Amino acid sequence: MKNTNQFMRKNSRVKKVKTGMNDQIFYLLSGLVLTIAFLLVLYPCIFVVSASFSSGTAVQSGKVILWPVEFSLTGYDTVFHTANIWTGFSNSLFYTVCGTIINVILTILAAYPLSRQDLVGRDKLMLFFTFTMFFNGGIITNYLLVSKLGLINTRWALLLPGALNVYNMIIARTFLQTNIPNELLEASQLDGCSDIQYLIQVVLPLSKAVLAVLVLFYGVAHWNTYFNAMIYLNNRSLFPLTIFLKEILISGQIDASTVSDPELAEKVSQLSGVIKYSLIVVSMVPVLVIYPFVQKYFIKGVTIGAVKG
Amino acid sequence: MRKIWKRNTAAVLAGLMVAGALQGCSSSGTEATKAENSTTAAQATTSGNSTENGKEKLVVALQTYSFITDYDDNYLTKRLEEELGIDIEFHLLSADSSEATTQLSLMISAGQELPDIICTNGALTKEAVLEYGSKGVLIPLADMLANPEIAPNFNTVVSAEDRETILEATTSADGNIYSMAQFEPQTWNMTPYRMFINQTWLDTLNLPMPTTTEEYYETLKAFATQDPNGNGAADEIAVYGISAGTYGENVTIPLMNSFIYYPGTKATEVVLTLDDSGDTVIAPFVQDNWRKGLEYMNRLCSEGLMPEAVFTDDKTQFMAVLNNEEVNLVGALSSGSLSRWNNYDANANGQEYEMLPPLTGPDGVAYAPFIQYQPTSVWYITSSCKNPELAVKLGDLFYDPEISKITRYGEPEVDWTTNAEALADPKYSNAYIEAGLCEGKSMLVLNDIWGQNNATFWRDINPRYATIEDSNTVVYATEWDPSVKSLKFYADNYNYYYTAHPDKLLPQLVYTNEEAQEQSEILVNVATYVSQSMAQFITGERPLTDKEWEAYKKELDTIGLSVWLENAQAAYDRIK
Amino acid sequence: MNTAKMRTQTWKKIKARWQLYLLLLLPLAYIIVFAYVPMSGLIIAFKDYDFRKGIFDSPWVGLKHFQNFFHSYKFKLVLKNTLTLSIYSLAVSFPIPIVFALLLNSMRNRRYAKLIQTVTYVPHFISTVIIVGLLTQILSNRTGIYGTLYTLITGETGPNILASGPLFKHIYVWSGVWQNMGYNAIIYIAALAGVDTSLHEAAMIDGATKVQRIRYIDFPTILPTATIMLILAVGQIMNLGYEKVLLMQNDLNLNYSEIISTYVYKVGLASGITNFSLSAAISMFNSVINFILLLTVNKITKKLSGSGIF
Repeated sequence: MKNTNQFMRKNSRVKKVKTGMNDQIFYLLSGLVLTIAFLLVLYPCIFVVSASFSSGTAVQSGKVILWPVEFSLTGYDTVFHTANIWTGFSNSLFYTVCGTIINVILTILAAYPLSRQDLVGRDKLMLFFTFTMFFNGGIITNYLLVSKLGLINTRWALLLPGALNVYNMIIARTFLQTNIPNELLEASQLDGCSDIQYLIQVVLPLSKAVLAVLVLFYGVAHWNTYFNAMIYLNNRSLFPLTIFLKEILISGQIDASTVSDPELAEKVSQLSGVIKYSLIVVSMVPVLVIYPFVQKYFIKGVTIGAVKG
Repeated sequence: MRKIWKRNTAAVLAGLMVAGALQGCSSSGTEATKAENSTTAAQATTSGNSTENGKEKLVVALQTYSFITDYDDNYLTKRLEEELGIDIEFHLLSADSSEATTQLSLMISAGQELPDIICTNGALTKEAVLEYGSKGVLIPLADMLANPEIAPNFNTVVSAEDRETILEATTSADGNIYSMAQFEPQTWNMTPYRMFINQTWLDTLNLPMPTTTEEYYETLKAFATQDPNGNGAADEIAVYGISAGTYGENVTIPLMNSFIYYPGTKATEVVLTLDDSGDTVIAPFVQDNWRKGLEYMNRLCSEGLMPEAVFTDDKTQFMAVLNNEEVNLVGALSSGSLSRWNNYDANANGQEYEMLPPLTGPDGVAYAPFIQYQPTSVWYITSSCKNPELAVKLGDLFYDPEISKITRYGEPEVDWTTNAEALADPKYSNAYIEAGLCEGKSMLVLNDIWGQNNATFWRDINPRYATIEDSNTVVYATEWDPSVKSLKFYADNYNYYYTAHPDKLLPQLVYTNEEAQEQSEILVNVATYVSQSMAQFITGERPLTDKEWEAYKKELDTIGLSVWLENAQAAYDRIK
Repeated sequence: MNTAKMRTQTWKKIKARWQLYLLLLLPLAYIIVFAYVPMSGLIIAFKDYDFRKGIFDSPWVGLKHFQNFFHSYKFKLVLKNTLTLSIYSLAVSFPIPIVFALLLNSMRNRRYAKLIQTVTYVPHFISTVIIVGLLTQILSNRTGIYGTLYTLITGETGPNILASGPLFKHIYVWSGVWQNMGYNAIIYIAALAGVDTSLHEAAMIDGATKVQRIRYIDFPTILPTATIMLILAVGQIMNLGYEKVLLMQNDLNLNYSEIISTYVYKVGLASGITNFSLSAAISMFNSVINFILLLTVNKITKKLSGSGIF
């Protein structure tokens, strides 16, 4: 496929020199724009990493501009020597993996039927789902519900509330609606395929891109989950990483109103200057590691090309 | 080709799911057993208040701190358990005060059984304590505190005067006391608005130390125009500070005190004061002298002596400027902590400064902002507690002199000592003792664990009693060197600022629920408007004409300043 | 007779698609339990919530909290700032990721494209505190990159742009683009994966330029997704979080930077007690506006392009 592609491109270039020129200008310009955007965005990333490897005093007094100043590992040292950090890590992994599986299944279960034109009452059902994006009972009733269901201080408290994100469901549904040709449905129905069979055998294999997006969105949300863990969990052995990281962060921050001896608080504040950055790096690594795997499914032309070819 | 690809992904997906499920099972399995073993508060509260070994049990909801590696297997916890023969269990609250507030309010809203004791130094505001107290969630403690049987240390160790201060500060607007407090005043923290001036520059330009606002102005002018740092560029910042600072960096506050007394506070608040008679509550920021102060600072700003950056910079910028490497940039500033200079005692820039006594204004006013010490409420007993007397006893134990030392400095003879022989060593001293402000040393800190990971104490989130004398006579196990400037400043600070305020100060006022509700929004708007206008008037964004000044006062009236003043007067009259 | 016939027909249709309803069962049950059951909590917006009495027994106060909110100090200014920021934000940060995704997708050097994509995705995960801290550092007219460059070129200290109220919205919005462009583009990049390569090949043989191919092949592919994203984005206009704005506020830009959420945050902080009723009322106010906007835009797009949420 790649070969033919190149061949054709060459061919057309010979035939239409003018178009080729135009394309060259376009590639040049778009390359330029993207490179500028790339460099602009690259900067904060490098900055954060550099800051995390610098000394507290250098970070706090704004000496870090691009590269680490007064190289030091204090930030990482503190993070990795915090009690429970590995408990938090494995808990977060658990919540992310299990939570994402539940999320994706539930999302597809809703998105697929709602993407079908022949579903009676589709619009009303959509409205029923969408309404909850805007109106919810607020923190007290949610807490009461979780408490009544007996989920407080259990792992389920981080898996069940928010198991279906309507926003993501709508995105998934749009994908299914637009990226899977209707002819496939008709063809498979002629073959006597049931709706569930069609979902499993045809729709899902063709929806890797959207599944990848869902895994990414949900996974990232689970990995960063904080508030629910803070209010629903009290048992430290269940805490996700974010809670422990926040604790480290707080330890160095000063709020003059609550500290009875600010000068003492100052003593540890320099540490927090670095920790802030080390924490970001530590918590970002898994998110970065997973991205290429997800990105793989965004490669151009896999879906339809694969079916037709 | 296509098939293989399909099969592969299917297999990967299936594998992932199985792996996930397996991990789910195994870890949830082990967690379940772990959870059974661990002593969570939920179980603790439901299983009554005595354990298998017959000891009584108290559950403490304690705000955590990440430096503390273990609360159960903790020197202080064990010590307390031993002294009272009880079991202490923890329900750990978030380290972040506002989050701990949310956690508590949800637990209370859901009607759950609460821990016996809530121990936090920021999660419960005065208003919340009143609300929970008056609705029966927290129980009143006054009678138990007055009983020497239940609260022996509070009635003997704590001096009568301090006891009065604590009781006054912890009394809610309904007249009840719902908390036990931490009492640890320190002179250094009561006058955080420390003014510094660059002595090296003064010497270079052959100028005397300014004593009045006019001399100060002249000095700043010289700083800005005569290139005292000698690099040929007009890069000097004559006077610097940051209005967003939370520990004395807001330079406009100490300067204002040469015109009118204003105690200063967090950036997000404004405070009221008393008039000269000491009977009437006034709003200093609508007085004519306030305007004179603004005019003065506007002059500094318009002549480029005070940069606009004072109102926009954050702590990082502040420190970046102070620690500039090639040359020192700052002539004068205000800062609470010397740690704004990296490693102060070895910081070339930092060593150039001397502390500046309060400047005398045109009308002879020379105050220093003074933040009155307030005992902090930390120990609350809930209605779920079956043995409130025991809970008070436990709280009272913290007032014991030795426990009070442990809660702040760590384990005796390991982290600190009061051994007379060790104390007698003349090489250990501190600024207060050297300046003759205190007599004798009371304890020697061997190992400062404040910034270390440990399982020794609760990092001072607990009741405590230590007087000014107590904290000023603590010495550290490093050789006293009189040439070290940072240590000398402790004495300067005390001499210059500690008494430079009006005799009668407005105490912290306690508002009733109605008053608090009525004015909560007003307070925010007044604070925002005053601080915003201050910045505008000083930078000249808004001209300080009669018309604008009247408009400013009128706007404050519209916001409802008078309501606040009335409430404050009423609250003041109640305790006067 | 007729209606009965139609009813039986509808019933037949439903029966034919019973498996679809079966699939929907679980998500529906979930939504009912976790979203509709606790929705009774909405009523505290019309009550004075008292934790002793609970949600149902707290006294009714009608529209008191809404009125308090509407009559709060400088409500108009605060509302205006909120809308300025969010509409500006929408106008800029909605189209840019689309353009970005299209350009990225058309890049010939796939490895470079992947690298750009990965890097631009990262800043989304940097916390607001750090981003704002970095922003203040860069834009400082004395110590920052901006100040250094300005001094280098003109020889004087640059004006303090952080003190300027009118500039606030630009700094806010563009730093948001800077942080989230890559992450927001993911969805379009994924949608572009659905483009039929044979279409491109055919177009190339016909001599279409790259720009034409993007215009007539790529863009229509992501249009339905873009439409839905627009509808969803419009439905969030009032949800402007307080954190970043609060961190960027100072006394000199306050007239431009005070928005509903920051104001509410400050009042809540000062009152010392969480006023659950007031926050419920405010979030209901925002939600109602958002929901109406969403319905409106949905109707419009449905009419124009045939695609919408419902």
